[in-house]
Parts: sequence; C-alpha cells; structure tokens
Amino acid sequence: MEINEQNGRLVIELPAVLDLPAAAELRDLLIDAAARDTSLDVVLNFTNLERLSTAGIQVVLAGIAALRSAARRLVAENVNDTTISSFRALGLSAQLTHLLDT
Amino acid sequence: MTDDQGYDLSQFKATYFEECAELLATAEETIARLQEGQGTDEDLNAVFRCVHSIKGGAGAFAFDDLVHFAHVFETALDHLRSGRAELTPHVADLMVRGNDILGDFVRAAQAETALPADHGADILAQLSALTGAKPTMAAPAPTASAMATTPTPPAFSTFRIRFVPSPDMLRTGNDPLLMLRELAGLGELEVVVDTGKLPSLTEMDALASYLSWTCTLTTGKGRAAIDEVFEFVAGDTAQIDIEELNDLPGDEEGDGWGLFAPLPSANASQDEEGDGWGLFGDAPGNNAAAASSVTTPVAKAHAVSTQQASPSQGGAVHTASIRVDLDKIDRLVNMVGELVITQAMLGQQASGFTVESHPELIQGLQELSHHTRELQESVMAIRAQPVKALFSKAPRLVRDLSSKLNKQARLVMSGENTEVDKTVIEQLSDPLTHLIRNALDHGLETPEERMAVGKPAEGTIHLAAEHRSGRIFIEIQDDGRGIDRQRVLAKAMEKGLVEPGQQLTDEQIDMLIFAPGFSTASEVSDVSGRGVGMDVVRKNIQDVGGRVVVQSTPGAGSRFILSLPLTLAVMDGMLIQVGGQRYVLPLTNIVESLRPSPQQARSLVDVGNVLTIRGEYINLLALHAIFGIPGAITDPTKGLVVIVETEGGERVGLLVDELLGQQQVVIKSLDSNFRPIHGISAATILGDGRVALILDVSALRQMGAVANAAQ
Repeated sequence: MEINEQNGRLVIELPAVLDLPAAAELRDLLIDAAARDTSLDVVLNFTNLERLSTAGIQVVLAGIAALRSAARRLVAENVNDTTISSFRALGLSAQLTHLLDT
Repeated sequence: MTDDQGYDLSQFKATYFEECAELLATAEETIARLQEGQGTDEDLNAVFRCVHSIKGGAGAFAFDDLVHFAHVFETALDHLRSGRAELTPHVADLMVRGNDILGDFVRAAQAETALPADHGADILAQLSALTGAKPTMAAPAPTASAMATTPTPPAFSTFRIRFVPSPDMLRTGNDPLLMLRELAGLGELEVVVDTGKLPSLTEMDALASYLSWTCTLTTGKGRAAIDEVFEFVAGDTAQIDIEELNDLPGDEEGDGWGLFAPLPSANASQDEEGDGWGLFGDAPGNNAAAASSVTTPVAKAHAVSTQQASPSQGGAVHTASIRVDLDKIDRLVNMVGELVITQAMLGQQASGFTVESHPELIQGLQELSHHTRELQESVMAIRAQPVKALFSKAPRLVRDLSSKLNKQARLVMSGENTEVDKTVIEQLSDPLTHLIRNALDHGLETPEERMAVGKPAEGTIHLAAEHRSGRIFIEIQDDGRGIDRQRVLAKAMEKGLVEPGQQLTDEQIDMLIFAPGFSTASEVSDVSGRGVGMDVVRKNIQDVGGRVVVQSTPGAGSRFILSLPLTLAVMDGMLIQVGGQRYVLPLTNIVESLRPSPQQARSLVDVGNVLTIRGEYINLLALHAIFGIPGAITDPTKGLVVIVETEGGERVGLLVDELLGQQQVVIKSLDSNFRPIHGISAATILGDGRVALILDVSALRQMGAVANAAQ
C-alpha cells in the first residue's frame, strides 16, 4: 500500500486482504496522510478489497476521527458488498454511512 | 507477510496446521469408536468440536474450500448429535470418509495447493443429503440455509450476548467479525457496537482489539450453539456473558416471533441506518425489531453465566498449556545434558573430599545432583506424549485391511496413555503400521481356515503399551497361525541368508524375518510382502535406541515386542571397569552383581562358561574377551559378575573387574558421531572428560553366543 496524490486527493488503494499486518500498514499510512501539511482529503479505495478484518475496520474508524480532528475528510470509494457486510456484521453501519456520505 | 513489529501471520498458520493434525487424529479416533458402536453422545460432540475448530481457523485464513467442506460436515454432525439424523453404520462410514476429505483440504491448504474442484464431491453430497440440504461446491452456504431445511420447526429463544474481546484477542488469530457472522447465521441478530475505547490513530496498536459488542439473538438453535461460536475465545481471550430472555409463554412453540423485546439500545442508535443498505433480507425478525423499538422490554433475564463458569455446558475447555517450538525444547534438552556432564565433573573433582572436611560442598553437590535430575525429568516430560496418537490410526487400518483381505479381525488396545518421547513416537509410526499389516496379512488366517482348526472366525490383534523397567514396551500380538519356521528357514537358505546345514534355534529362525530382503510372500501385494518392511521396522526401531523381538508359537500366533527408551538424551548407568577401560551398563538392564565362588563359575562343554545361581544356569560372558582388552581380570572368582537381562527376558552374566558407581550419563550417538559398533549402543562423556562406551546388552548376548559356539 502507498499514498498516491491524484486529482487533488491522497488516495490509498486497499489490498485484497486487509488483515492484521495490512491493518498495521494502513495505520502508518493514515498517520502519514493525516500529518501531511495539506488540506487534501484522504481517499480509501476499496476496489480490490476481498476480505476485511476487525483490525482493518478499527484502523479505518480511527482514521476517520484523526482526519476529522485535522478538519479533513476520510472518504471511501468503490465500496463493495464485502465491505458493507463486514461493517454491518460488526454493528458499524452508521460509521460506514458516515464514511460514504463524506 | 510481516509488519513493522515483526508480526508474522505464518506463525499462526503453522500453529493452526499443528492443531488441525491433532484435531483430525482425535476425530478419527472418536469416529472409530462410533463406528464400532461404542461411542457416546459426547463422542459425537467431540467430533463436532474438532470439525468446528478446523473450520473456525480456516475461516480466519480464508481457506474457503476447507471452510465449505467443514461447514457441511459440521452441519451433518450437528444433525446427528441433535437426533435429527440417525447414526447408522453407513453414516459412520461416511464420517470416516468425511474426516479423510477434511484432512485432504487441510493438507492442500498447508501445501498451498488446490484440490480438484470436485474433490470429495460424492462425500459432500452424502453429507448434505444427511441434513436434507442440496450439495453445492460453491461458496459456503450460510448456516441459516441449513436451518431452512430442518424438518421440525425449532423452539426459538432470545439471548442477549455481551462480547468483550481482550486487547490481545486479534493477535491470537481470532477475529470478532467471523464470530459475529457466525452468530448471525444462528438466527436474527442485532448488533450494537461500543467504540468508546478506540484510541486515536497515533495511540492505537493496530493489532489490539478495542471494540466490544452487545448482541440480541433470536434463534431456534439453543444456548449451546451460541457457546460454540465463542468456544475458543471465552475466558482469557474474551469476556462472554450470555443472558436468555425468553420468559414469555408459548415461545417454545416457535410462535414468539416479534414478541421479544431487544435491548432498548439495540435499535436506538444503529439499526435505522443499518436497515437502509437493503442487503439484509426479509428475516422474520425484522418486523420484530421494528416493533420492539416502541415496546417496553417485558422479558427479564433469568440465566446469566459466563463460558468460563460453565465449561460443562458445551463451552470451551480451558487447558493451561502453551505451544513451544520443538527446537527450543531440544536446545533445553541439550543444555540439561551438558549440565549433567558438568555435575558429573564436579562430583568427580570432589570425590576426594568428605562430609567432615567439606560439609557444605558435599551438601551443595548432593543438592545439585538432586535438582539436575528433577530438571532432566521435567524437561523429558515436556517431550513426552501419549502413544495414543500412534495407536489412533490402528482401528481404521485393521478395519480397512481386514475388509480388503476378506478376514475378520478385532483390535484390542491397552495402555494408550503411556507416554514416550515425541521423537520415538514419530519414528514408530511406520514400523507399527507395518507390523499391524503383517499381523493381518501373514498372521491371521481367513475365517474358513480359522474355523477349520477350531478357532473363532474373528481373529484378535492386541496392541498394548506399558512402562516397564525404565523403558516402554509396545506389543503387537495376534492369535493367527504363527511363524512357519520351516518355510522361513527354507526361504532364508534360498536367499543365501543361512548356510545349508547351519543349525539355528527357533528364536534365530524367527528373527530371520527381519533380514533385509526377506519375504515369504509368494506374491507381492500392496498390503505387505514387499520384503523390505520388516527390515525397515527393525532399523527404525534401532534408530531410536530400541529393539524388536518376536515370539511365535505355531498355530497360536505371534507377538512382536518393541522395547524403546523413554528418552533419547539421558539415562541412568552403572560405570564399570574392564582392564584399563571404562564402560557404562544401562541400569535398567542390571539385575544383580556378585563375586562367584569357584563352585558357581563353571565351564560346560558345548555351552561355554556358565554361572550357577539359585539353581539356574546363566551364560557367563567375559567382556575382556569380547572386546579384546588386555590386563583385565580373567578369573570370575577374582572379579565381579554383573547379571543383566535383555529385552527378551534372557539373563546373562558379564565378567568385569570392578563397579565404579552409578551415574546419569548423556547419550551421544555413535552412529552420527562415528559409526555403529556391534555390542555398543552409544557413548557418553564422563566427569573427567573421558569418553565411555555404553554397552548394548542384547547384542553382547548374541556376540557371546557366537563366541561360545566358535569355541
């Protein structure tokens, strides 16, 4: 995973499997993105995502809060059924809605 | 894949596959009991738990094919244990095959290879048929689909489940997401998450768990099904509180839909948004949930418990155990070995001191000796495992082979819990398999042959293990035809293993079957008779310091006795002196020692030197003569005779100069460090740094017999 600046946004393409190690990597990238001296939105692209873990979702939740506190937004793109069902299974439908609405 | 904290998922996978091997073996053993009609309901539960555990881990690693097959297998087992399907002999056979296929999927996942798409399709179809479900080779169907085919409408209950993972739960490979999904498969589920403990991004540990959940589940599957979802995390890994909310009358009839009031918070904050996805269909409970938002909760809790408090209710059984890499234990064993040598060295250095002159030193050395021994025994106990793991394959082997050979055989096992070193167990697998095959193929007669000689049509194979004299003995005994010595001898002569005219005892003829390339089978079969098996059997057993002997009675059967060391690292020995050389005699072989009188030590024609003791004649072997040691005592009445016993139970007297004392010795392999020497089993390092050879009593006896025959 890496951060790419595209069309005035910082885009992170999520891997096929967002498991524990990938969650730790995503955390580091989000910290990096949040710390950048910019007002750009951070986009999580879910296109390739096939499997999600609780650890990955926790990082996404913490990322939402981190960027919000920096007056910026974490945006989800190309969210697929796997993502929706995973958030829903964990009782996080509201949080996903927030992520999609931003 | 590793992260910046060195976290490696492959460790979890390795542990998972180790557990799978144990679970598959346990399942096989338990299914065998069920197959024989000796199983209990708990056995069915045990098999279910095994399959469920394999499925759980497979889900965590996304082994989808494995999950799918395990799910169907598990559902079939669930039907059996709940009485919705009957355990017939055919179904028991199906369980055996199911476990085999499950093993195939596990091995494929471990090898990271894919099985053919239709692998196990026939078994899958039969398992599915057992539950009334349609078989599918596609992605796993949700558990709810199995419920839909349940012939009898179940009684529904509502449970409130508080699920608080420990911070370390994710690191153990358990993901709440999978559990909550599994929980959702049990019925209608409402989930309320508590994110209050989620720290800031910079403060959070991505591998730690911060969320917790309160769930309301309406299900017809009962409390046990919920317990199983959390079976492997309840207790240390997560706090699970399950509360049943079903006080309303009539709910056991299943007419309680919509009457149960979920927790007020269950729909207050989340569900109105959750419903909006439109992905979660028309479960009957949706209306109930909607209704409940305006309904005062009328149900009250009447049963609150935790998994930890009630393991007997189908919950997790918590064992205080950890998994440790075998290399680490081996390093520990080696260090203990070195410690034993150091202790012997200190003992030797202090041998000139007395308690009076150096009381504290002597006391300290005694304590060191005591603690070293305890340490050594404790370390060896870590490596010890019950032979049960080895024996568990036998029932199936006997069943399959007897069917293939058109023979009737009953397997009787005893001493399965006898413990022996892990390496010994691993090394025994092939020899034991071959000996059982041999007993079935060559030993047991066909039912017709047995009845013709007045035996029951069904033959018996007895597999036994026991500790005796510091060693472990494994016996494979059959009540078949016994060894046909004339045929064995003729075959041995034909193959040049025995010279024409050479006189052999019955025992020597029997042992010919272990000669390389020996086989009396007129046709090579895929069961046995390849002529390499028994040779390999003996070599494998000798490789771990063991020995195999055969006792056979024509017409009555044969008994193979495997004598094995409890451990491969340290043993108790008696240090003896012959001439200028020191040897170690295994203490377990020593019966007694004495200085014979002239009347006791005699020389008999055709026999050689013998010792008469308590009316018994015992062959007397002079070690100096066998090993060619100059300067040793040659007159038994001036030296000492140590009477030793071989694994076969034969006694022999060894003439030595002196007994120097008993001590623990660390076994150093001659095979790997030098080369095999007949009469010597291994070497050791003494306290003064000298190397002493450890005597192989059984081989010495054979050498003595040859020497006497030559004389």
